[in-house]
Amino acid sequence: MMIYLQLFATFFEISLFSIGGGYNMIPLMQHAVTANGWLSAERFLDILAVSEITPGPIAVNLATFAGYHTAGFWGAVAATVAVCLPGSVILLVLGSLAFRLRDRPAFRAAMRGLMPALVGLLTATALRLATALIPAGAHWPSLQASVVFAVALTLFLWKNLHPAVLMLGAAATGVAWSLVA
Amino acid sequence: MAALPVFEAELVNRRRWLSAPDTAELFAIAQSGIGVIIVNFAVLAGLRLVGKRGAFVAVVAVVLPAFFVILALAMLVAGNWENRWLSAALVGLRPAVVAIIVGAAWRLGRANLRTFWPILAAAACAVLLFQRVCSPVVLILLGIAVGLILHWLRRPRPAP
Repeated sequence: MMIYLQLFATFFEISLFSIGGGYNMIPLMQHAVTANGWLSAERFLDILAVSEITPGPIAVNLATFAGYHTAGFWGAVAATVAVCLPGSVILLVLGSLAFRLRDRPAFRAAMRGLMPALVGLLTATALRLATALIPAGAHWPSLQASVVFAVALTLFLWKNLHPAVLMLGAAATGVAWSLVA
Repeated sequence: MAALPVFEAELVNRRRWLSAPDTAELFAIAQSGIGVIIVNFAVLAGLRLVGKRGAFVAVVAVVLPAFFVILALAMLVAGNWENRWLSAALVGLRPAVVAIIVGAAWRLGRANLRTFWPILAAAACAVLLFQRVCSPVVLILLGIAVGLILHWLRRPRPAP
């Protein structure tokens, strides 16, 4: 029972403090699941990869997967419900006020102050996860991993390739590599 | 995100439940909320069309497909992380996931950090989280507080 409550509280908090959606939830989630000892950085990367390939909101995908991995079916339910609650409850309570709040100068000022924090959090999380790419006893990721990283980053930023397409390409590269080696 | 065109195609063009500007407005509000954007959008669209019950039905309907697909995948891989094909695919996937997070940070930074101080603040936040000095929640609250304080300091005061 304890673990379900813990999952619920943790994902509720993650959702409560993730503003603007998209990738902004990833630093909070990575921090929480490693701090609780639920997932290693490497396994978090694996779950993130599956969540990118699968359609549906990535935050829901991650919550369901991490919840199941930690405590089975009811863990998945607890994490998924918790991740959906804060945003929907706030909108239900605020009602039409939410429409006016967004145009307030104070709200926009708060968002401007938030931006450096969000960029910094994403950067730190990327670095933290990159250390999971380094094999035990080595100082640097393998040549193969570095090449996949560089190619994926280039295609994502300059060719605007969809993450799911990139993921499928990267998975195929991994399988092809194992067949050659 | 690629969700808005999908909502438009279904709600505006096919069902004719909402106008295109309404959909865009609801989406913009959903996006400046907390949590899951698509869930927020479902709440707003459900409220607009039906009321509280509509919001509830819309949220459940937008979450359930993703929930069951991921649940099935999670059950499938649960005992098979060491499977030859899966672990080979993951060796390729992991660096690509890191690349996407770096790309997301780069895009967000390019769009929002244009001057020296915000860039320095972002670098400081990155160091503080990486070195485990602060939790993400603390840094987020700090960012909001700094934004509000600067706003009130710069606000023109009424003449006495």
